[in-house]
Amino acid sequence: MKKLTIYIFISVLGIGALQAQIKNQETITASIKGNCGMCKKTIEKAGNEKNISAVNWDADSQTASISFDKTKTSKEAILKKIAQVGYDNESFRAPDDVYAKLHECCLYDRDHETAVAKEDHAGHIAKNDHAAHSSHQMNNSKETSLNSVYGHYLGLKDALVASNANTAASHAKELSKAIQQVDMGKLEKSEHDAWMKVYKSLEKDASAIAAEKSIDKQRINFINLSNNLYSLAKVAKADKPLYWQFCPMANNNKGAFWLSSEQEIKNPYFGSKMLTCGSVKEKI
Amino acid sequence: MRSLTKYILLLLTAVLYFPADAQQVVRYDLYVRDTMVNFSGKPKNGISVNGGIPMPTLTFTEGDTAEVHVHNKMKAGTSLHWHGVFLPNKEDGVPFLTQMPIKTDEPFVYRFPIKQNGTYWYHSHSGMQEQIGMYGAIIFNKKKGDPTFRKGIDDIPSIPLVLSEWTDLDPDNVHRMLHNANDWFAIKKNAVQSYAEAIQAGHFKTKVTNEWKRMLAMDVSDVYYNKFLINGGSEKVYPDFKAGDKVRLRVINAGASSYFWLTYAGGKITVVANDGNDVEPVEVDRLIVGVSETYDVVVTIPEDGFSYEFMATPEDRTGNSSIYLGNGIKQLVTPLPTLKYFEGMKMMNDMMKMNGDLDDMGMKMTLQKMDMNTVMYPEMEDQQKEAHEGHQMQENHKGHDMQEKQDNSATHEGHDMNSHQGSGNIKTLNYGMLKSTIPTSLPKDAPVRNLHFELTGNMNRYVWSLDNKVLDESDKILIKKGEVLRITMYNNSMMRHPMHLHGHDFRVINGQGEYAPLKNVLDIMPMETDTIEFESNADGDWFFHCHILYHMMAGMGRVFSTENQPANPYLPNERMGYPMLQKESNMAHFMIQNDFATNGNDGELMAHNARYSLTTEWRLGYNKMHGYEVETHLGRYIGKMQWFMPFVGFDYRYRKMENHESEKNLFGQANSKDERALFSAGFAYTLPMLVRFQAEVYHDGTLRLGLMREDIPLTKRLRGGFMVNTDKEYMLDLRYILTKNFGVRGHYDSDMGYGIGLSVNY
Repeated sequence: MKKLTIYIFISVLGIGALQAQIKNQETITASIKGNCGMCKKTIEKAGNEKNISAVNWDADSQTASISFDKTKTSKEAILKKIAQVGYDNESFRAPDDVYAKLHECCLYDRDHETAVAKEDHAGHIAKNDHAAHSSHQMNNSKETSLNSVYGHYLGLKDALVASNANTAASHAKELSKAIQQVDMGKLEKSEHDAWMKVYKSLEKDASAIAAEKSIDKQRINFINLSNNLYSLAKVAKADKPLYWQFCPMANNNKGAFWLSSEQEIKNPYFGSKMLTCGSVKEKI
Repeated sequence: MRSLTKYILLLLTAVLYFPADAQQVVRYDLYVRDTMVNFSGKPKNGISVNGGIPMPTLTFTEGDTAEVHVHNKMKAGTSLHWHGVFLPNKEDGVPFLTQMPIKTDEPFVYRFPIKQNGTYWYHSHSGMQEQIGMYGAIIFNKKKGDPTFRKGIDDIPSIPLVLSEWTDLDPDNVHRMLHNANDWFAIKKNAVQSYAEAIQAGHFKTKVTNEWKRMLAMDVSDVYYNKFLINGGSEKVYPDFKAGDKVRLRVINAGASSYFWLTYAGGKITVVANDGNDVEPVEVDRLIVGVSETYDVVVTIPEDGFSYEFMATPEDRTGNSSIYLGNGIKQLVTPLPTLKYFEGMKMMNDMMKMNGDLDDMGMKMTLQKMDMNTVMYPEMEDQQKEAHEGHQMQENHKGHDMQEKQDNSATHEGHDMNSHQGSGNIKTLNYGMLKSTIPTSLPKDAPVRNLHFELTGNMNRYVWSLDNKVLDESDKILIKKGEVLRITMYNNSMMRHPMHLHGHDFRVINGQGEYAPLKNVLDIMPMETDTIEFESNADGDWFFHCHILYHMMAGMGRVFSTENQPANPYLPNERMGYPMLQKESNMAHFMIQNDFATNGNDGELMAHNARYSLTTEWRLGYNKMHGYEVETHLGRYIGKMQWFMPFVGFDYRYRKMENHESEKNLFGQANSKDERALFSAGFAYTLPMLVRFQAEVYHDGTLRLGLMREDIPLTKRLRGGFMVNTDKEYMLDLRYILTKNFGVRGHYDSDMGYGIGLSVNY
C-alpha cells in the first residue's frame, strides 16, 4: 500500500515535470546587447515566463537562445520585454532613461547615441526664471535691498520644489547673508517696522535650513520662514508680483503656505510627489 | 416615402455631382453579427460588424449626408449612437429614448447631414454591446476651402486609433460582479490591498484608517481586462514615414471603462483637437484620454532607421498597447510603472470625511489641473531622484565651488537652471490648456438657466447617481429651445466620471474667455467642480450620462427634454420609451453562494438593485440536532452611502434538541421550540471597520442583536470573517479564494462546530 502511494506520488511528480516543459516549442537565437553576469540575470528574468518562454543569454556572442511556446507568445514579444528593462536587441531599442538607470557595469556600448530628437524641454522655463532672478540683481542699486532677500527665498523655494536638499541649503545660506546685508537705513518707515518684527526669525530659519541636510526638516523650517516673509512682503512689496500659495495637505495635513513668483502651483513641501497640490490665496 | 426621397436624392447627387464641395450622400452598409473572437487565447463571444472588430471607419466630408444601413443579423436588438455628432434626435441611436431597438433582420437606416468636421466615433447604445465590439471611428473631413483649414495639421497623413479593452468574461456578468463587490478583479489586477500587503508596505495604519472610514480598497478603475487594443489589435507598424515627417493620430477612447495614457518614444506630443473640435496646438509629454473622449495629436518622426513606439496605457497600468511609426529598429517608450496603491489609499483617507463626503480642503480642484493620483505614480519619484543626481553631476562639471566665491549671482543662476532642467516636470495635459481656435461665445441675449449636479456614488454597492438619484428615480429634465444651460458639477464620489452630452457640444469654462474649448465629454476627477454651458438648439430627448458603461448601466444619467417637441416617429408607444430606459439602468443583480462543509451547508442568495435588497441565508445541518434554518430579509438602503438598511424578514428554523433543553439569549428570553416560524423587523447598519450591526425583533417579542464582518482581506487571496449575536451564537471563518467561483473555507460555528468545505459562489 505504501509502495503504491509512493508510486502514485512519483508518477504525479513525473506528470508535473512533463507539464512544466514548454509546449509547441520553437527555439530561435537573437542578438541582444549586454556586458556582464548582472546583465545576463536581468535579460533572462525579463524574458522568462514559466511554461511559456526560456531565455539563455551569452555575453561573449551577445546572443540569446530563446525557446518559447509559439501558440502563447512570439519572438517579438519576448525581445520587447527585454528591451523594456534596458537591453537593445535586433528588433527593439531600449528607452534612453531605462538604459541610463542600468547598473554601471551593465552600461554596454550602444550603436547609436540617441534616437530621440533632442529638445531643450526645460530651456524656456529656466530662462524665464533666470530673467526673474537677475532682474532683482539689477534693481539692487535702487533703494531696497529686500529684493535680494525675496530672490534668494525664491531660489530656496525652487530647490525645495526640486527636492534637492543641497541646493536648498546653499540658497538658504545666501538668503541668510542677504538678510544680514539689508540696509535698514534705506527702508521706509512702515517697511522698517515690518522688517524689525521679522528679521531675527527670518535669519534664524534661514540658517537652520542652511545647516540642515534632511529635506524634510528643511521643509518644516520653511513654513515659518514663509509666514514671516509674507508679513514682510505685505508691507514692503517686491518689484515683481508674488503669489501667496497654500497646500492644505502639507505639514501633516495642517496645511502650509509659501510665496512664489508664478501663479502656477509648484509645491515646495512635496516636490514632484504632489507638485500641483495647492491654490493661490493672494496676489501681493 | 422614405425610400422614394432617398431615390430622388441619389438621383440628384448623381446628376449634380461636383468633385469639390458638392452635397453628397455617402452610404455605408453595416452587417452586425454574433461572432466568436479570440483576443486572449480563448475563443469568446463578441460582435463583429462587416466581419471585424472594431466597426469600420466611416469617412465623410462636412456637407455630405450620411446614410448608414444597419443589417442586424444578431439575435439581440441593437442601435448605433453617433457620439458627438449634431443630428436630428430620432437619429441619435438611444434605444427606448430616441428609437426602438433594431430587431433581427429589421431594416433600419440612419440618415443625417454632416455639419461638423473632426474626429468622432459611433457605438452601440444597447446593453453591453459596446464592450464586446460595437465601436468604430468616424472622420469628418473639412471641406475644400474651409477657412479653418490648418497647414501642417489638416494636410498631413492621419491615422485613426481606436483604443479599447477586452474582457473574457460576459460583460453582464462583469456588471453583476461589480454590484456584488466581488473582489476577483482586484486579485487579477494585484490591487487587493490586503492587511498582509499593507504591513509589508509599512502601511498598516493606512489600511486600518481606510476601513475605519468604511472604504473598500481604492482603485483607479473597476474592471480587470485581459487585453488592451488599438484598432482591434496591437503592435502594428506604420513604416512609411521618414525623418521629419509629421503624423496626425486621431485617438478615440472607445473603451467601456478604461482611461488611457498616451506616451510617445519620439519626443513631444502636440494636441491639436479634442472631441472633434480644433484647439490651439499645445505640446505635452503625455495626456490621459477619458472614456469616450477623442484627441487629435501630431507627432514627429525624429530620425530614419527607427520605428517609434506610440503607447496607450490604461490608467490602472495592468497592460498596454502600441503602434510603431517609421521604418527600422523599434525605439520603445518607457512603460508606465505599476501604481503605488497604498499611497493612493493614504491620500483618499485624508480626503474622506467620516460621513462619506469628500473634503477638498478648500483647494477648489477643477479641470484636471491638480491630479491627486500622481501620489501613486512611481515615475514622479524617479524624476525627483534624477533631478538630484543630474544636478550634482553638473555642479561638479562647473567646479562651482570656486565660482561661488567669486560671484554669487552667477552660481545662483546656474543653480536655478540645473534644478529646473532636472525636475523637468513631465508635462501633462489638462483642460485648462485647451483653447478653441475660434470664438465660442453663446448668444448674449439668450436666457440662462443654471443647473447643479453632484456626482454621487457608492463603491461598496456599485450604485452611481446624480444628486444621489439614479435615472430610475428621476424624471426627464425639461428645457426650452433657445435657452442657455449652465451646468455646474461637483464630483463627490471616489471615482472619476466622463460626463457625456448627446447631440450638442458644450463650452468648458476654463479661463480661456470667449475661446473656451468645445467638448462633448468632460472628465471630472474626485472633488473637482467644473462648469459647462451650451445652448439648447435641437428638439428632442438628449441623454446626459457618465460614459463609463457600467456606471451608466447603474443609473448615472439624466435626460434633457425640450418642451413641446414634435413626436418621434421611431417611438410610437410611450410606455415602451423612457420607463424602459429607466428600468434597464436599475436591474436586479443576483448573487448566490454556498459552502459545502463537513458540518453542514452555509449559504446565501441575494437579489438587489440600487435601493432594495432581498436576501435569503441558510444553514443546513446534516442531522436533526443541527437542523436547518432559513432567514429571509427584504430591506431598503437609505442615504447616499447606504450604510443604513431597515428591513422586514421571515425566519424558519427546525431542529431536534436533546431532552427538550431550552436556549436563553442574553436578555433572558427563552426559546425551546424545535420548530419555529417568525416574522421580524429590524435594521442593519454598517459601522466603522465595515462591521455590520444588525438589530431584529421577532413577532413573538424576542430580540436579536448581532455584529458581523465578512471578507476581511488578510492576504491577497485569504479572507476572514466573524459573526456574534445575542442568541449566544458565534462564528469565525477563513476562506481562501481559488478561482472566480471557488474557494476553500474553514470555519467554527457555535451551533455546528468545526467545518471545512468547498465554497462556491456565483
